[in-house]
Amino acid sequence: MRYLLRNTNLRIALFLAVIPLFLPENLFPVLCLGAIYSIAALGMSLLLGYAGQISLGHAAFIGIGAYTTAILTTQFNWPVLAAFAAAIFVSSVIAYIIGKPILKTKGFFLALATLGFGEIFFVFTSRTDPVIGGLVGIGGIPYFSIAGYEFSSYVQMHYLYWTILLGLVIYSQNMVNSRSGRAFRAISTDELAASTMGIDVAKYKLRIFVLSAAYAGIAGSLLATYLSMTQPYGFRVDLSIFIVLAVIVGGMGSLWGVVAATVVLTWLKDEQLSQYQEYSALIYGIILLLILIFVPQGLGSLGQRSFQWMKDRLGKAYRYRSNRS
Amino acid sequence: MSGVLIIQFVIVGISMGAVYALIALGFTTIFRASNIVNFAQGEFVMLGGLLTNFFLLTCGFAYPLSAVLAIMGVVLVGIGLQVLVIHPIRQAGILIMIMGTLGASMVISNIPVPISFLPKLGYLRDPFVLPPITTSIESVAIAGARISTQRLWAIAASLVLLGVLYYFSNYTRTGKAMESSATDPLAAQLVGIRVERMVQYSFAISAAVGAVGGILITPIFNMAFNSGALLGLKGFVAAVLGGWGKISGAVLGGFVLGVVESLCVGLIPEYGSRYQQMWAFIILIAILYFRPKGILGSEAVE
Repeated sequence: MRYLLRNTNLRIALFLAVIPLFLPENLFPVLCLGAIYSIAALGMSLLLGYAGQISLGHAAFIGIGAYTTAILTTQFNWPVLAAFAAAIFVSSVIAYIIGKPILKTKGFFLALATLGFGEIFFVFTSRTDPVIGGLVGIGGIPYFSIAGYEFSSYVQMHYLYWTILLGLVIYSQNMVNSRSGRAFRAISTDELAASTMGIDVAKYKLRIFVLSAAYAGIAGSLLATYLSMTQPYGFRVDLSIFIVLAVIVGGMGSLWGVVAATVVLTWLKDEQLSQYQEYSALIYGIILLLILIFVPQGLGSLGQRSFQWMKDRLGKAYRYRSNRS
Repeated sequence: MSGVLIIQFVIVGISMGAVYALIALGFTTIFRASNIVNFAQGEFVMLGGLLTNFFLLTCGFAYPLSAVLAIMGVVLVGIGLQVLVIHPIRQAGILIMIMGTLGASMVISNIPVPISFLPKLGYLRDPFVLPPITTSIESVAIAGARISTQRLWAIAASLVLLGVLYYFSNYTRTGKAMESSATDPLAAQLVGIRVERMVQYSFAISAAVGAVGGILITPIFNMAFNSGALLGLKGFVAAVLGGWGKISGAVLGGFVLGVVESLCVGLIPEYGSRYQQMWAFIILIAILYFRPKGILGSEAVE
């Protein structure tokens, strides 16, 4: 039992399982949305934190997942679970097609290319009226359901989303510590050195890009069933920036840190800033700049640093006392 | 499709391309002095138009004075951006730099929103158009195509500016010092070049160039406080298209992008204008795939 409680995943799972009993009603949407965005941020964390490749177009992959689910459920009457699987498939395939040319570039150019891809997705969805409804988007998407059991209340959704997220975190942890995980870290440190060690850099980069797009597709599909609608403006560059910011704030290499940061940022964005709709982009930009300038290693590092500082201080005082006696 | 119409689209494309060239030049100027890509470049363009509009409408100044004041204002913003944002994060990696300039872009483009709640300034939130530079002759006929004089102004003014910048960066001491401070900052410092000052100069110059672009484009383009980002991205595409890091590449890329985009919009039936804002990025992905060095071949890209 004691051994089991040492397991971080299990402790967090227990915490999330009991939290609906204590939480005020109005915080459920934050937890649900936070879990959905966390899934996308998790994929970004693998791409950015482990493989060192930036993408500013992930909102488009979330959008592709959402639109696939929306089209298949509302116009072809597919069951939600099948549409969910199709959404993951479609976003991965598009990531594979688009990743091949884009991933040849690095740094600023990769950022530009992915931004450009996001812009193409936005223009396409907002200007195409048949099937996907242009700027109005698609409405009336059914709730997520498995074999007739419908997840329609916030509590049900909470358990659904966090279970999926937990599964993905465990998968990612295993992946990070596997052969390919080590390959990704080698690529992020030095591509040339990695390729001399026999790592097929282009193949691994494409693989992690597709994997992170699949995570984004999962997030998008869940988002569509959660909001029961999709709109082009929901998947613009601000969402991509939001996800990258969550990874930076959470600390590049820490998966649960990224999840925590995403939930906090979601709370900030959807609960606090939504009352000041007009200023939200401005306030958000200022927060982004402050974090980058003052704590570029992420807020996780701030906690660690202050802990280290306290330990040093206390340690000094302790040594001082023991020397005197 | 008649020949006259094609000429019309080409000239419209060249005038748009002149502005893309100016934006691309802004990117190139900063990159050549500091190896930084400034994603807030488009905001300089937007601010150039917005501030001119502000000085014209609220202060009631004459057009030339408003334009000059607006350019000075944007230069101050550019230097402020370098001092407040770029300088503190210059040691952090490329990712932080990208996010930093994107964050700055978000802040700059949204500053007009709170200001517009002041009395009589509500118009800052709305799309705006500046009056054209020459009002007496509205348009001229070139080979049967009618072209508004503002477009000709845009082409002429940006060509002059491009020439001046080319001379400045290749034939003056300051221009060369700016370039050397990016190539090898330590060596530049050792021979007495103030590297930090050079980076500030580059931000000031590219802010001024962007502001001029904004003033030239606003009479023919419906500008709003949030349209800077897209213009900036297209300028970046132009710089990559022509050959990243080269002044001649930025200029050529700007014109090529403008003309190709205009022809896509004009010549592809129905879909051309419907997906108007998409073509530049499709061109971008194609160029990154087939020739990432750009048309003129850049040394900065392997």
